[in-house]
Amino acid sequence: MPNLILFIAVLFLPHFLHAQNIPARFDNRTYTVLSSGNSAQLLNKAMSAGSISAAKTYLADKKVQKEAEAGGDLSLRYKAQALTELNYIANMDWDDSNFNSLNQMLISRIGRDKTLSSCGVGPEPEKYLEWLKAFFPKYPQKSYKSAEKAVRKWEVVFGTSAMRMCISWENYSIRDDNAELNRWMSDPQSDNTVYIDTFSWLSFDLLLRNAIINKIILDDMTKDNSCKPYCGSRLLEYSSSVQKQYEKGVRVEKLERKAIASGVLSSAQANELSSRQKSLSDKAALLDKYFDGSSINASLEDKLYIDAERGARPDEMIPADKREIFEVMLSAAVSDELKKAEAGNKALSKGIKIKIGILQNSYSARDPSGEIIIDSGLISEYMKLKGYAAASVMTVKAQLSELAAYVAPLAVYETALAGIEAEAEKAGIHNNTRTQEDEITALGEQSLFIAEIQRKDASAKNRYRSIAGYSAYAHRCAEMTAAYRRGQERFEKTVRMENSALPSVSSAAANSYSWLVAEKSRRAALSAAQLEEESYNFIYAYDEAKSMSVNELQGSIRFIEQEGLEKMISQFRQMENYMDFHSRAADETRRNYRRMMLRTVLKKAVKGVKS
Amino acid sequence: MIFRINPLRDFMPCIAVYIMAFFLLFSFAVFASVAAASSVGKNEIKAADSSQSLENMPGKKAEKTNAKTAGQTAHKRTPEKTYGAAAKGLAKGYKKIIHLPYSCMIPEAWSVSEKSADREKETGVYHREFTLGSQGGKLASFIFADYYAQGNIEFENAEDFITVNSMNDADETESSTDKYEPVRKQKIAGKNAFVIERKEKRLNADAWEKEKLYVIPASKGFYVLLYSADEKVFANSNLKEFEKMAASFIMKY
Repeated sequence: MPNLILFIAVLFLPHFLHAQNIPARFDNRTYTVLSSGNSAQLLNKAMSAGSISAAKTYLADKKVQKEAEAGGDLSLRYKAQALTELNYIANMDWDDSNFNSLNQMLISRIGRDKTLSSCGVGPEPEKYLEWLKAFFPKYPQKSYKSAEKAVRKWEVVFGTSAMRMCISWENYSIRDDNAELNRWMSDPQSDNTVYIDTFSWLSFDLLLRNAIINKIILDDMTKDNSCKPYCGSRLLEYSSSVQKQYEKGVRVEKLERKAIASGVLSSAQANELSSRQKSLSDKAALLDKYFDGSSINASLEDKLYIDAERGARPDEMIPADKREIFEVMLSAAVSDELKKAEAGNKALSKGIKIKIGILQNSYSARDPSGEIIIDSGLISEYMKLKGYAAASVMTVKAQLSELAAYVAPLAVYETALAGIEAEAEKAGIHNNTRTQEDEITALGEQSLFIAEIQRKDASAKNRYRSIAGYSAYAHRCAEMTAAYRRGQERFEKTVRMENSALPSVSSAAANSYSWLVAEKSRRAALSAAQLEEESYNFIYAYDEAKSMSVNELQGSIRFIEQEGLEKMISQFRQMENYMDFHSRAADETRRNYRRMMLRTVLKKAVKGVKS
Repeated sequence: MIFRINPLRDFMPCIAVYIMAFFLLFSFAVFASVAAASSVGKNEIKAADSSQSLENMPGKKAEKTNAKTAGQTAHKRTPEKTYGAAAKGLAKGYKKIIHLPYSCMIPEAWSVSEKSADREKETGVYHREFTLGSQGGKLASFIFADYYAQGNIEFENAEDFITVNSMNDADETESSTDKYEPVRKQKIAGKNAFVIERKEKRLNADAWEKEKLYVIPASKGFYVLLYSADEKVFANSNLKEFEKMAASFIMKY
């Protein structure tokens, strides 16, 4: 009998050992799945519960992938990719300084109809917090707190759960940009007013929450009757753009006080300067005038800051009648600059033509003919900071060359983006959404170019760093080049943080795929008569549909022709090749960078280092 | 003759055999599943299944054993045999990281992010990033523990890494936006290491980012440990934990 007991105990030993091997607390859910062997169905069940382990297992198990995707259904792959990517994002270093970047990253990933909703992470943003609690039992407290701020948890944002607010949206421009808000407002009973409390907040997506927070900040600003947001607005930290504007306002106000305290200004000038009706840019223009034409003791930094903040004077803008000539001159000068570096020559191989235009939220773009458009504001900004006039830039060759050298990296950047689009076209996939990977590839090329120029031309070494504090473009060039120098991981991390509002390739693909497949299933469930009736609304052919961005696709999916819909779904099979392209391009740029550095970096003696 | 059925006497052997057979089959199934589950998501972080990764390591080809043998050897190795003392007993509140090219101890509160094993194999850069506990400051604090295999795509050798990382783009060691201390030597976990200390002004956050790097040349490639934080909170407990981690660092190559 003791032997029997011992025997049974030995038999139970594996079960005991197995219990010790249960990986993480929440992986108890996936334990049953993994212990009975990996099957697509079971892994899907685990992924639907949000299991990261199951997602990693799926992506690593080629046999299961083959089984699951045999019929052309890629939904499991995208689920797995979305979860592993969210795991990567959750593990980034989040704290009070950068939770708005996390918010931007989550906007494109969590919400109604997003792939992660089928994994239990959404559509309510708070589900992200539940997922963190479940899968990261030892998640750093500071990161969790920043996640609460990033999802705009009611209690964290407003400090109390017992509160009800009424916000009127009449004549408010954000309404036009926000589909969720429009849907809310389309309710005839809404009366252009949103009543917000802890319960309605749960049904709002992150975009709408941000819109409401911005509205409250702007309302505070109006109450204060000032050009800058109300200082006491405790929600200021939730809007990076308003916060930046506020900080600018504080700095200009400080300079304003300094100018008035100097006693040099007349009372009329002082009154004009301190008027609350003046905008930030108007005040900066006045300060610029007073600093230049008086004995007020302003530092070079203050003068540069004021130059950067004020609007361009007419003589700092290229006159409309001379724009074409200037474009020809600038194209030639940029080409000369590009010839100085290998990365530039690569961009130059297909010819460069530069145009000047007014761009919103970007420094450069490409028109359909492939011509590179450079923001006229960027050119004016450089002239302001350098004290150049448009007339002198067009006549003094050195000034034109200097300006061309300053904007030349944009030609490399745009050419790299054109290459990415060509690759997508070659792979037969639709890609009209700018992704973080696009930025990594294009900014990598740009950084290689800047670094190469800096190594060859001593005058270029501080081109961007010297004015990085006054120009967002110069800051981007300097920051990216420095990050690239420190290694690919550091660089990619920096690019992702700086472009947190962009989706990654896999999240963009995952969401597009799930919408297309859902629409296909919906149509399949319709009767022939119903489908025929709906087909009158199918206004987008394949060519139009494939050029849509992810957001456009979501809004227009019901209007895509059936054939186009099928074709787009089938193209996702080639997505993997396209995703590999980014890795290959990044590796090639990195190899070129290493070769360039080996050729040109002066080997400073660090004695005794041997690998 | 009267047959009296004694359940204990008559059926027990039979029942025992059934139970044994049942548990034998069941335990076999459980053992199989343990093997499958053990490669995924434990508290200790593994780079990948060791037998596969050893085959994939750049620079490993030059070793005497062929890939298959190396894989078999690695399979038999326990973490203790491979990495020595660091993989053994843990102080309370710490966990061990067993990444293929190294092992070390880190506080349990730190979370770890990793890239795909395929990318590590392609680039020859084995990267781990640790997210640290809250310490305040305007900038995020983080630690990298990287292995640059021989033939990696980023740096020729440790000397290249040190050269590039000990001065700015303009080849200066001091400017208005950054400052690099002279590179010095130091013993770390019994190995000769080079220490780089630098700080850079982050214009967006209006704060100085301070960093300390240990560059440890190895027989094949080199290792880099990096700690980065806002200068104001740089010398707090995270720095101490970084030093502890470096002291527990055991290299594979």
